[in-house]
Amino acid sequence: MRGLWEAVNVTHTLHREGESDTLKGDFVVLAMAHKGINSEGAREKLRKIADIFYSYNPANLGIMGPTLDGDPACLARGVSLDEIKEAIHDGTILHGVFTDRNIVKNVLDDLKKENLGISIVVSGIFEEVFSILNDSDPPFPHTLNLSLGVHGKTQYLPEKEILEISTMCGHGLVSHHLVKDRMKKVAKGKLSAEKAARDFASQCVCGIFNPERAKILLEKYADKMIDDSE
Amino acid sequence: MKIDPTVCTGCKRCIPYCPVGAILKTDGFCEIDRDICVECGVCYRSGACAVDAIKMEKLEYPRILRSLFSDPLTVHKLTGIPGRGTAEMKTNDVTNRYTPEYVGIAMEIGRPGISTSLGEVEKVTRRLIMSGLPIEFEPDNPITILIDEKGEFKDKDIRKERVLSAIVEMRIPYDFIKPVLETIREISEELDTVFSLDFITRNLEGKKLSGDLLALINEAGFELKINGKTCVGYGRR
Repeated sequence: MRGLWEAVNVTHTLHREGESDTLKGDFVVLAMAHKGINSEGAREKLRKIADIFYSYNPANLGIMGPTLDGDPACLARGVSLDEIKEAIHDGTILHGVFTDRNIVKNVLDDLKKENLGISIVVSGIFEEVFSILNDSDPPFPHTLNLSLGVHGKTQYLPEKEILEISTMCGHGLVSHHLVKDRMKKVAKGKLSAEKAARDFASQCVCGIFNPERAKILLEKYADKMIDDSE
Repeated sequence: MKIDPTVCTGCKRCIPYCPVGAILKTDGFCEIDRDICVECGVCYRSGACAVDAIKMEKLEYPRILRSLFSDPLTVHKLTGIPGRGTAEMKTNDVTNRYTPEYVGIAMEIGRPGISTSLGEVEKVTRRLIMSGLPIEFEPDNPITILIDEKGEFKDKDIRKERVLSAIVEMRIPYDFIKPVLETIREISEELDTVFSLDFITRNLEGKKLSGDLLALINEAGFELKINGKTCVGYGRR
């Protein structure tokens, strides 16, 4: 036995598909300690970071793991900040989703000021993220995780318009079929883009899905999807 | 996952929620194709079923592997496997796992949203080991724990299990980036699913990726996406 299966820890904020027009409004800020190195006492620090994220009105916020009641712990599911904070423990991975680079800069400034020693990872367009980081504070950035794309039987993939929405859940819980179905309903006026985006976000259990970008993408692509299929 | 046929009204609202298309309508009610289902729990949590016909079953090994790889909310104390992936670069400012001399490469097999059998994952690990290249599989990654020295699953019976995705994580000396990427390019032709490819590096020139590294990646036939993950360096021991 080598310990417990504690969470499905995956490079879940990488590989968000899309063009710069909407990706420039899509940032995930992740915070975590490393188990066995700096995780002891991390709970209170992570709770402090959750407060910082929340103070900037994030598009979504959540943790990898359930609430104390066993439900997905993210704002998009209608869970409160207090419930999320209660579920945070030393090994928690915490996420906040933001739509504006200036807000992300403010979040990072606050985190730097607090000097909590927790690792912070920002997902987004590299050019945008690098422009936020302070030149006077090397060694920023420390390490990059690059996406070299999708390979193999790519003919199995749906249209890129679907992927731009579904890949905002890196665990793959936002179904391609659901996105396509709802995109058609939005195009026909049977469903609002906002309601469809909220439904997508609530399938993503760790709070990294960006419903505001999804709404923009639905409005951008719905008509095209109806033209392509009917 | 299971749908109780005595409760299901056959409304079909749950069908689009399934990431792998495992829910079908037959004889007036919906049912789940258990061969395709990856036990991710999305249908159960979706709220689509007005009559609570969708049930989450207690799973036994090896089927429980489906849930462990596919459902981020699954907490399991039996297998001893500590997660689908690892902290990889997220805490590299604390662990220094990846130095300028070593890069990280991960193949996320089945991602995005297509799913895979574990048999396809084994094709990858076996082929990487057969290449003879100095590939160090991430020791805490569950796939590493499940395979033997030939890259084959210790328990052959798990090959048929399907998961939303599984990650093969490795650390590579900088000098072997190109042959490893070329091997991955060859493997991509042999798989019956997709994979997303991750590349972890500290090879930066200020706020830019090293030009030499970029050239190596391009020469191996891969292109960078404009977005990705940046560990900003706030962590400390």
